[in-house]
Amino acid sequence: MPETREFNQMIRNLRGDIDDLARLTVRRYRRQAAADARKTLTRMKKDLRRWTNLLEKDLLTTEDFEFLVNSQQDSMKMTTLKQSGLALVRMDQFKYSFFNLIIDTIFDVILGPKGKLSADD
Amino acid sequence: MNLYFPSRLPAFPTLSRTTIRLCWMIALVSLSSCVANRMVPHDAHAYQEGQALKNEALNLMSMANRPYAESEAKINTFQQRVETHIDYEQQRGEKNQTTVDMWKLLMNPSGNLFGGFLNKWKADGQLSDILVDQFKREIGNNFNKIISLENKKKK
Repeated sequence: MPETREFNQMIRNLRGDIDDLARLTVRRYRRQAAADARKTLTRMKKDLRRWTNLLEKDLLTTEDFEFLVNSQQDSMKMTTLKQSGLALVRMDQFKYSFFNLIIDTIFDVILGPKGKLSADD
Repeated sequence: MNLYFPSRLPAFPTLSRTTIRLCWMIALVSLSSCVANRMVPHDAHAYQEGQALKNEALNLMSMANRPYAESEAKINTFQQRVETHIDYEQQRGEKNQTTVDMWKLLMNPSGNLFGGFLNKWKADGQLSDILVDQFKREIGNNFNKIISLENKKKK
């Protein structure tokens, strides 16, 4: 396994490179882009350590390593899609609960708490 | 003539309280059903097919340490089954576009998920056990994202 000190240094360098990359490519949203990328790097750290170790031992080719790292990008897109889908589901649930609340409240008021028509009609 | 307190009021039809209450109920129920949902409801077939395709994909991956040609027929059958399933998901309507996009991304041959894996297997002939092991986890997780979204849709 690569020395922990070396690995941590590599992660630190990567963080610095991410900031530079964000500065150069997405100037307007630099802070947000850099924060997102750093969060991703933290999530990937465990996998990166394992893959780096396998690459060092020649158990993975450089192409395989690249393929694995690039798969993280598509995995992130999948997560984003799932989150946006879940947001829509939650909005539907909120709307459903909102209307149920209105209906229940008004029924309680006009029909009485038992939901029955009063005898005065 | 007193304009403020006319002796004769216009004759409106008198509605009973029950009729007014019924009108309220109809109006409210109609209002709640008029506001369209943003996501299609849960579909048991889509959920089960998602799980079956995940198992099939992981089985296929287990064979990737052997030559692609040995599994080519199975891979073609699998790809056709996925295409049929994507068509099914598309037919559920445009409010199911997120799920359709997820399937397409997962199966994109130029991408780096299952479609890309199959492409790499074909190009390289066969893959190392270690790559397959590492990638299986990734693919399993990404199938789970589609399955989990389907499971959260309103039942």
